[in-house]
Amino acid sequence: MPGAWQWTRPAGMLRPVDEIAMLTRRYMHEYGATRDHLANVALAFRKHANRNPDAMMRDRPLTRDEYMAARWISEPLCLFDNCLETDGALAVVITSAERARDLPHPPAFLHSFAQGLPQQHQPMINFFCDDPLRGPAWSCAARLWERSDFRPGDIPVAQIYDAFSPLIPLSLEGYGFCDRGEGAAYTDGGALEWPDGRLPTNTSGGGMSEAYVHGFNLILEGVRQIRGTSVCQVDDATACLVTSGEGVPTSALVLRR
Amino acid sequence: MDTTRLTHDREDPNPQPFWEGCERGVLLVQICEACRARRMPPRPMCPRCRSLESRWQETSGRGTIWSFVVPHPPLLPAYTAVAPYNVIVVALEEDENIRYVGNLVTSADASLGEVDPATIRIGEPVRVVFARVEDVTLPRWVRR
Repeated sequence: MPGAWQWTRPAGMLRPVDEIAMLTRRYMHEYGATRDHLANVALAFRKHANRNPDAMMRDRPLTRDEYMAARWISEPLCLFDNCLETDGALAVVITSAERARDLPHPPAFLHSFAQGLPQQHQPMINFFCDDPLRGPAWSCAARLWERSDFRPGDIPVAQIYDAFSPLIPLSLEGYGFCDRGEGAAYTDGGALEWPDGRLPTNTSGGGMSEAYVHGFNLILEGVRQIRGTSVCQVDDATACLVTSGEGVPTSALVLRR
Repeated sequence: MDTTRLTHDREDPNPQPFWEGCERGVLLVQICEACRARRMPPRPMCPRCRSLESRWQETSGRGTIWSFVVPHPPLLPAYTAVAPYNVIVVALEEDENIRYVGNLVTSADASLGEVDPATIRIGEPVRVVFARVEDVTLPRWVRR
């Protein structure tokens, strides 16, 4: 096994899900997060996908009981904590604001973007550093908000990279929607669900229930929210946060009208 | 079908002292000659003071379980055969920011699946043992 993998693969930590499950177990231990919190994430995204004619899971509702009874993939993560596997092709057209002015569709403006990773980060296996639960989202968010007129509290809708459900609470903390350790509890009360949640998230179903195209479909859904064409359209979607993965060197952008 | 276990990188010179330590039955950690900060995984430069001078230090071989997972199939064939098994991250007793990935076993050469995962707890004290796997020696952990 080359490089970093020689420290993990021989012990049978073979897959990305095993690596993220390790951080998840520690996160649950430190902050009292539970499988119910992870189910909040999976069920919210599935509800959005059930409204989306293009979603792989359009016709597959998911209940909390089904979530709890699902087979393990890597404890504490079960089948429904994982994204889908999808072959897909998507495109975005990026042009100047001036050229976009007379295009047939209303544009989504790139308001702010950033990339980031913390010191001594090990992609996917961030448990060798001093503070493993403070991942790249924190570094990325600092630059993203520094360059933005919007603050987390101004963001009415988000598309957050969801290869695995625990990346949502970790990202909510990293991008400043709540304090550290509060990301799991943030998901309670339907907070991520359209239309009434405080932050409708992954409104097309995300990687877990629309399609897993490595997060690209999250960008398209962000554009739809800004244009007003989402199947789970948020009222007054003045801005949308779109993030890449937590736990790896990452990036994020804020789209606006 | 490949039924072998995955083993370490014999082409990369940087971590070889660690693996040679395992052959001798000692768990090593890389330590900076300039600022004495330990680091794991090994690398050429100290992340704290950027010194390129380092050496290898013998550890206590004791630690506590920092986190653990229980992988279930689909897995590679050699691992499917012993699944579900545990993978643990151990925080070193003398430096909790030094962590190793391994397995909690009942004895050095026991199957990876022998410890009941339902009995494993974060914070459990463990000590290192060494298992011969194919032609290499890997650190594993037992309760203490």
